[in-house]
Amino acid sequence: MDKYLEFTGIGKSYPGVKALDDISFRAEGGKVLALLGENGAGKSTLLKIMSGDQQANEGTVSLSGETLSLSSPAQAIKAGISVIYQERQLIPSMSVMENVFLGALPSKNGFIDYKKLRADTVALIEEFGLPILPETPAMFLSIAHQQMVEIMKAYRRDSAVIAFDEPTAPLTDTEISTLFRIIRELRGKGKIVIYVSHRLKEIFEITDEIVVLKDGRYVATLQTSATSEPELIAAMVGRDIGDTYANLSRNEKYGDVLLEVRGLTTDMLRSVSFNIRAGEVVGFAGLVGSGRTEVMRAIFGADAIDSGEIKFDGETVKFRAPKDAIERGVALCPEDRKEQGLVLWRSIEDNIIMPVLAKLKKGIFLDPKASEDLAINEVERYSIKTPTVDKIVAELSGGNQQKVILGRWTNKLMKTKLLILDEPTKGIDVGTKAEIYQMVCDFAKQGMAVIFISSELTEVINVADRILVMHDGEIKGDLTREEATEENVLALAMSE
Amino acid sequence: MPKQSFIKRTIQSKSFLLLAVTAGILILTAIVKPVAFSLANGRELLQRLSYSLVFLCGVSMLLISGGIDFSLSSMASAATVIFAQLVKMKVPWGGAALAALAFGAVAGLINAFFVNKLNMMSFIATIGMSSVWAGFAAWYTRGMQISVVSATFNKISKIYLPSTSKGLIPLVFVIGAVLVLAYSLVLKFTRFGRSVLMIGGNAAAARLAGLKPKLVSSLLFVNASVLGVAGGLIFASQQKAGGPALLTTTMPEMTALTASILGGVAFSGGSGSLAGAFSGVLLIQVLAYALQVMIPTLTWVQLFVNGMLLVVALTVDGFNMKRRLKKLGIKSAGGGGRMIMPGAK
Amino acid sequence: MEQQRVSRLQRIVRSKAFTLFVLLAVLILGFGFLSPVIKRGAMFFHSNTLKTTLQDLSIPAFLAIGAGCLMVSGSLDFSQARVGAFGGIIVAAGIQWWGLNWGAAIIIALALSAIIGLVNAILVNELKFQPFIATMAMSSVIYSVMYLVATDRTGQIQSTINFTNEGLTKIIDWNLKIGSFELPGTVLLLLAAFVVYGLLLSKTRFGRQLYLIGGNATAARLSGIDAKKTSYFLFINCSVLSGLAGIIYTGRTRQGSLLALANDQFTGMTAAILGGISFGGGSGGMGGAFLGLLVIKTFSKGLAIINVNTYLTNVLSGALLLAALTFDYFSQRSQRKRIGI
Repeated sequence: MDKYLEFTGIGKSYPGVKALDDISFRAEGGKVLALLGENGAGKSTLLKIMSGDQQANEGTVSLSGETLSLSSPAQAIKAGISVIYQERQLIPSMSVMENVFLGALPSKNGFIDYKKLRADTVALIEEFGLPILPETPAMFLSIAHQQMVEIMKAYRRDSAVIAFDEPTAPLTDTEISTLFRIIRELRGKGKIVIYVSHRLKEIFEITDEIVVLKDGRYVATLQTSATSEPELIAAMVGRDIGDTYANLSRNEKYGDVLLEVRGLTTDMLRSVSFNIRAGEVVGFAGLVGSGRTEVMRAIFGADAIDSGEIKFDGETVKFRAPKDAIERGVALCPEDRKEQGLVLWRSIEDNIIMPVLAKLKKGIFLDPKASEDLAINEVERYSIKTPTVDKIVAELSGGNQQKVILGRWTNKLMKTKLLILDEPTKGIDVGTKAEIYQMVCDFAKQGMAVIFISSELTEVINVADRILVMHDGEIKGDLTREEATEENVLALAMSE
Repeated sequence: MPKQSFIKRTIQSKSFLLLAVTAGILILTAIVKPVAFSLANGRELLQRLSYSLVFLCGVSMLLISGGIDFSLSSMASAATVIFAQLVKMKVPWGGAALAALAFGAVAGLINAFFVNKLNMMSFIATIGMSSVWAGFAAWYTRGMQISVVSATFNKISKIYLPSTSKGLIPLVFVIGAVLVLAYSLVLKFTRFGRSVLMIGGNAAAARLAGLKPKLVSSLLFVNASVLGVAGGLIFASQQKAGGPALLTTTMPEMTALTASILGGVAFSGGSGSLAGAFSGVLLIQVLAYALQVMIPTLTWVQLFVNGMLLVVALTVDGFNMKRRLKKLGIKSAGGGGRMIMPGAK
Repeated sequence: MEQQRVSRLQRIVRSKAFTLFVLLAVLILGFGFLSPVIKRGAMFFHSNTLKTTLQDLSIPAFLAIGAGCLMVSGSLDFSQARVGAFGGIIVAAGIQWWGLNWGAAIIIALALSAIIGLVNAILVNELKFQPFIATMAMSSVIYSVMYLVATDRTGQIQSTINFTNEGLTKIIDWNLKIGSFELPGTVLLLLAAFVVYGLLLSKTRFGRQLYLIGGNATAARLSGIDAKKTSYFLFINCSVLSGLAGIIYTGRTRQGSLLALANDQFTGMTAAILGGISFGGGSGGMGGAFLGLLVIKTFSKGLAIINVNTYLTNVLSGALLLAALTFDYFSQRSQRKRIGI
């Protein structure tokens, strides 16, 4: 046995939150180790610590018995650890070859050896079998090819440890098979490969061992060949997830058609059409970049529409800005809570009253009592954990932050008829997730139409009444909850 | 993707466009005011270009890395005060010049400290420092200029090549041009140069790939300040004096900034070349001089055109950026690196 | 969980304004007792000190209000001093050269200031310039137009335009007599302005929108807030207030100058930052900005009384700006540390 990477007692805490707690396991050379866990289980934090992007508070990382000091990405790379990130870390204006050799451009007598740079890159591109040129600026590549460049960047470093964070999300089948060939090659060379993915199918296909994390703690190490999907899920969730969905109290009565979208086309969407009835929960499934978010932004008036018609509540509408949509009763909880949803450094109260400021007037002034009452009402209704509504939102946990946004759109001054939830459970603990599923059903019972977008397939197909599957800016399928299975939804989502 | 021919690429480049416009201005001047083409005028134009080019190297490199420095002209003026005062105190001019350059390096380090240690936005930190340096220089000199009492030093700017009485090209211009060439080579052909571009393009990605964005940025702040002092010394040699407001009226860093953006350096960093920036400086100085020759009494038009150039350059830059973002499938730039502050969001 | 209401006293003590108030008290007491010790005959405790300090306040006060509102929304304006000088030049030239009466000259000056603000807003909102560079570029354009205005009939450029106008002088120099103390009318105006803008920011829907836009413009837009309209208003507002500051300066000195307000170009911004309006936007208020301004002007007045060289005031303005930003950085950092971001 040659090399191994060992985590010993790794802990990472933020005040009030323990992101990682006493994580210890070993990844061996010549094997592919899967890191598995739900969102918020601590996989990304662990990768960040490995890559030197963040530092652990406790514990050590050692390579073949030698303790590593990982205080910056430069040090981690030097120590032989390469991480391929989920968010592509390319420099848009620079060429493919310079991106691939970022940080280690070959040079001769102090000048860059462009001949060698080009030749080395061409060799890599051929090894990967990609139809791209070394001189092309990275921004002109498709998202899949950008991801492959990212992988080449880590591959060419010949590091002892290579970690992949959800590498297949933007890839098509051809590139995935290339990637797996490369991973097997790495394994053959005795490298330590760490593979993070939500796609169980891939994990069974490519990995040898699986480490399961849950809520920042180590759960178990399983041999891939000796385990099964249900066993993995049980280990990840810590209880039988089936119950959560079975226990939901759903809405049974639908109303009239509330939203009718016909031939919606933008630069990212191709003739999208669908209907939603009042009281219905419609799930949108599809890979990242398939156009789900773009459909919602277009409906909400956040992005311009090239052509197509939107009928809302029986009338043809043209929302020029979110303001128009909100006035008619459409609400959007955006996918990126911190960037687009919340005003992090303002109070809970401010964040809740945002869309109803105009209704809280007393003369020319804002009515402070009415606005505090409104906020307190929502805090109590959603049991948001805070002593006062004055607390700034940045201090709340992810689940409570999400509840603040829900409070914003469903408070008693809002007349929300269509509620769009884009990835409402991202980065939220399991308990709160279950609460949010029930809330979704309750909104439907109150007569709202709810659009529920999620990248977690299990979640969409179990919560929604009807599932629309998107791929490449088009709707590829319309399934009822009974019809939908992970397999057929995924097949539609990846159809060519 | 077939390679474009060299000629086609040259014609489509921004530098070519700027040089063509510059040539157009020269032709227009030749028609309107043929007497303007005198040796004296030619020499004066090249003299003005000389220190602009020295400033340009520092400002462009910094801008490409995503930084900006508005303290250069008042800092360089303060450096000329130090220089002139030391020469007055019988320090040999070489030693005095070294002291002034060292002062520049310290000033650059102070800027780097504010920007890279305290995470201030570079424009605001350097604007603050700008008034600090201006204030110190004015306080020390009581607002007066100090003559440089070294004949040798003052003669440097009066050396022309070829060294006859008909020599057109000032030595200091050659220095400026050589510096631009050198920095251009560094940017294009060295690891350091490429890392400047990468850090400007995406500092977070560059860091995760093992580069050290803060170190590079700090070096570039020092570089810009040292070059600023060098440019200031050339100007001091031309004026035979140092003073607290020596360069603040001509604001060479604003010229360099406008020239860089005109020449295709993205305002948000990450792309551009010194060749483009060089053509930009040429255009700005030729245009300013042509206006001065053609409409000497309309000072306000000269100033107005100068001010509008920056607006035009930024507008074009904005459209380029929009096109680029569209290709990337991103809707809005969302601020851009220079504006992001800790605690902002 | 039972929801507590936040008491008024808690809010006050926690605020940055409270810290500034303490700082101000320390400055006043410090200068008051130390000035006679440092320099013989220097008296900080004198009714004249109060009057001149208040008078010094009125010009940067309007700059601080304009800058403060913009900064709350996450933007800024570097053209303030130039707009002020421009407004002053227009009034001086209008009265002296163009034969306008003073009222008309002021209205024209304010209208032109508003147009400059509009152009700033267009550059930022439509052409997507970053605010600092848009307003800096506008500064140099305004400067060139000032040259045009300041060119007299003979074609000479006058860097100052002297004028005499009793009506304007009377208004600007009007004092409210309270016993033996004369309170300058401009001070009353600035206090009124602070109160009005303070209420606007803290008590109205519009004000709350500014904070939300400054805190996160994307989230604000997705919650139905029209950030663009607000930005237009703020830039125009800032320019008009800067123009007003310039007019008061011109009225007081009885001359329009190309370099008017140059010493106060950062004072407004510095006061706002000191008062807790951070550069990222979304926090602080007018009370803080007012106290920040008082601190700055008390400090410089104190230095003047103990006879520190006037050239050093320029150093001071830049250094104070940097000090305020450094202070802001550390307070934000400790806040982030506490939350763990």
